[in-house]
Amino acid sequence: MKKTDKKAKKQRILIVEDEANYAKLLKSQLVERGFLVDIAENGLEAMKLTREKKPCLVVLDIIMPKMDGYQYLEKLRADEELDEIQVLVLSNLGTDKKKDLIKKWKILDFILKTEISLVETLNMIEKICR
Amino acid sequence: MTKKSFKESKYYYKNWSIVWKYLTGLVSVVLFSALVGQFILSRISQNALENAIGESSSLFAQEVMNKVDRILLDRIEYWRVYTTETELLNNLKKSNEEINLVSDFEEYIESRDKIWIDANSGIKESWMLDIYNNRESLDLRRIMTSFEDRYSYRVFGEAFVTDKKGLISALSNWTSDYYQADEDWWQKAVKDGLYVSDVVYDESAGMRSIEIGIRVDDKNGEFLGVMKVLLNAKEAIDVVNELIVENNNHRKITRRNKVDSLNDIIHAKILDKNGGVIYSSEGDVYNEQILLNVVGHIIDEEGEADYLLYRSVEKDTEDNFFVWARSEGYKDFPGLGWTLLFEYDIKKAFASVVNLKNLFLLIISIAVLFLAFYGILISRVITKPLKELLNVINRLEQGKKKERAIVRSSDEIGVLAQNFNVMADKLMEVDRLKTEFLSLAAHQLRTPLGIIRWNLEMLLAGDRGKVSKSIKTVIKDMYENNQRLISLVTDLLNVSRLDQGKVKDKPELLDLVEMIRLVVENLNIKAKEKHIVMSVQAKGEVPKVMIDREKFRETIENFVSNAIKYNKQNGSVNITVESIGKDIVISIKDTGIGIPKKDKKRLFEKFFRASNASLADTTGSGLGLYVAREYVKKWGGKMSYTSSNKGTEFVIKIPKKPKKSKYK
Repeated sequence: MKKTDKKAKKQRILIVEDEANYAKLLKSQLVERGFLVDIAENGLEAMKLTREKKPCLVVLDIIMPKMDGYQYLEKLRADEELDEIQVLVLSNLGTDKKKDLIKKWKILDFILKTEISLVETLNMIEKICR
Repeated sequence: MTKKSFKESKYYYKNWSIVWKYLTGLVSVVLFSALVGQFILSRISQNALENAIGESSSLFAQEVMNKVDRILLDRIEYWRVYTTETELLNNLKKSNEEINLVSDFEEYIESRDKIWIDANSGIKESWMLDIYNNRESLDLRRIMTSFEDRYSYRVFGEAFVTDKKGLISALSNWTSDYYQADEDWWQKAVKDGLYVSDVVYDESAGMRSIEIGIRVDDKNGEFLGVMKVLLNAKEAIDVVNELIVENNNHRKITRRNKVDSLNDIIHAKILDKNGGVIYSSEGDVYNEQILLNVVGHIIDEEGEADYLLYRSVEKDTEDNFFVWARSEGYKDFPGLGWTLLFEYDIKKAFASVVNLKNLFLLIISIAVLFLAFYGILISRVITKPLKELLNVINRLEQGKKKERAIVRSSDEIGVLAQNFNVMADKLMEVDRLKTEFLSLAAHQLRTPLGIIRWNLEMLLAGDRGKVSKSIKTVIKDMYENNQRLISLVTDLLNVSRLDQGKVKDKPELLDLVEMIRLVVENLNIKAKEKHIVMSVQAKGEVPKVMIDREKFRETIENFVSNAIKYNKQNGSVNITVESIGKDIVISIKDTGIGIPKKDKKRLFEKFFRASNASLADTTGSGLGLYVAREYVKKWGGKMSYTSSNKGTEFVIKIPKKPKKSKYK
């Protein structure tokens, strides 16, 4: 995969994902593309990291222990400071209400993990945080 | 739930609800009993009544005849006593002695008889007048007058006495002959001591009468002469008449509440020994032929039953019921040998049977009504809760999971409802577990599948160092199979969501042709691999349709990818879209391997793959057509296909105004 342009200011990405393999894989690729990447294993951790780091984008899983993706979104949007944080949901949960969810939580997209290739994902993230 | 939607449920009873079954059964049983009852009533009771009336009436007729015989005997006895009077006997003895002195008897008789016959209309000779005016003659006239005074009619027509040669020795009225010994009655009276004739019309007396001949003997038994009396038949006939009237009246009185009598004798006849009619009552309507037949019956059947139901051969004439009795004589009197024949009013005679039949019909009708009413009530008691239960089942089926049957009673139906609720609870629990399991399984499956996918993609991109061509092929293979697993999981989830009724339509105004073109475009890469040419053609103007975009896309994708998957190299896929009537008709025609006929029934089933499918492609899950079919069905559309070994054409009809119903 393409090496990223290192001259630009590094953007921060927060990966909220309880599946370590998945998170690591995505992180390695994003780092390779020149992003600063944090990983949170659940919603609680994610809230903390979001507040601290104010990432350009949160890549959010839904099904997680302690605090799941929906609960995280609820807290996030309730917080005036974090209201504008961009979120991309990358989950294993299929849904009919994709459009409603996007509108409700002001998220960028709601994507099924298995339906999108790694390159597409990376391209999408790059497109958002550039 | 309305009846209509009720009937739409899968297993709605077709025609015969319990009510109808019950009522039909009931009515047939009652009708059968009614028929049997009618049969018993008309056969057995009619016969019984026939016998009863026959027996009693026959006894009555016998009684009447006995009375007639007795009266006749009384009259005979009266004259018998008269013939023992000394005066008469002496006079006869004298006459017999005088005759013995006559030398040429025959010539004497002949001349005297001639004079007698000639004098019928002329002057009587003195010897004739001597006889007419002798003491015995005066006696005879005196007796007859006294009878006439007593009964106010001529009881006796004439009376005369002959000597032992048959010559008249005393007479009440002038007779036509002087010599009587050549007469049949005279000879029989001499022989038997008594002669009684049938009823004859006597011209000289001018009345219907019975001839009585009595032989006159002296105290020692010596034959002296013969006496003849003409008895008016009126007396016997009057007796019959009186008794019949009395009979009818008597019955009228005993049946107080009824104006009509039960056993009115409507006709009566008296027949002589040979069946000739002596007397006939008024109101004689039955014809000669019937009479002849009945008389034949009477004469032939001695000792048999004395009554007969004469069934009419002709349809419009009624049956006749006849009863008869013969005179049997009295003491040493042999009787007249008459037969008294009655005809009964059959309507009145069998009125009780008819009444019974009517009453029976009434009872049966009331019973039918009552039973029908009760039957409907019972059936409702059974069917109403059953229908309610059926409604609950239908609502459950429609996805209203909290619906439960109402338990109204503790009888079998109540227990059924209770058990049904327990079962429903368990089913719902199973359903919940299944859903939980499926989403959990899907999630658990998707996570590793996703990771594998991305890792394989990385390897293929050469991100983790260069890979040789042969290894790349292996990785590609792994990648493809991983993709298969991913789509299988998606399909499985889709199907399970469909089955659970979780899938909801989000209709929007969609240009179907455009969407089809998009799908074809997306699948073009795959088609090119097999050098398949695809075309989309809109015939005429195709209006936009309110339909769920994603589901429509999925549906078309299914068909088109199948058309590619099962096509031959260098084949083609031709899609046409056309607006026909109320539908948009989409035809997807390929040049593929076709679908075997034996698979037709199961083609749209879950997990089914045509028996020749794996020859062409190994990646099908067997869920695509099932899902597509479910979607099209819910939009109110139809799917059909024709197939041969040269290709398959699927035709999808989607109504321009699709139904807004839920998925199952």
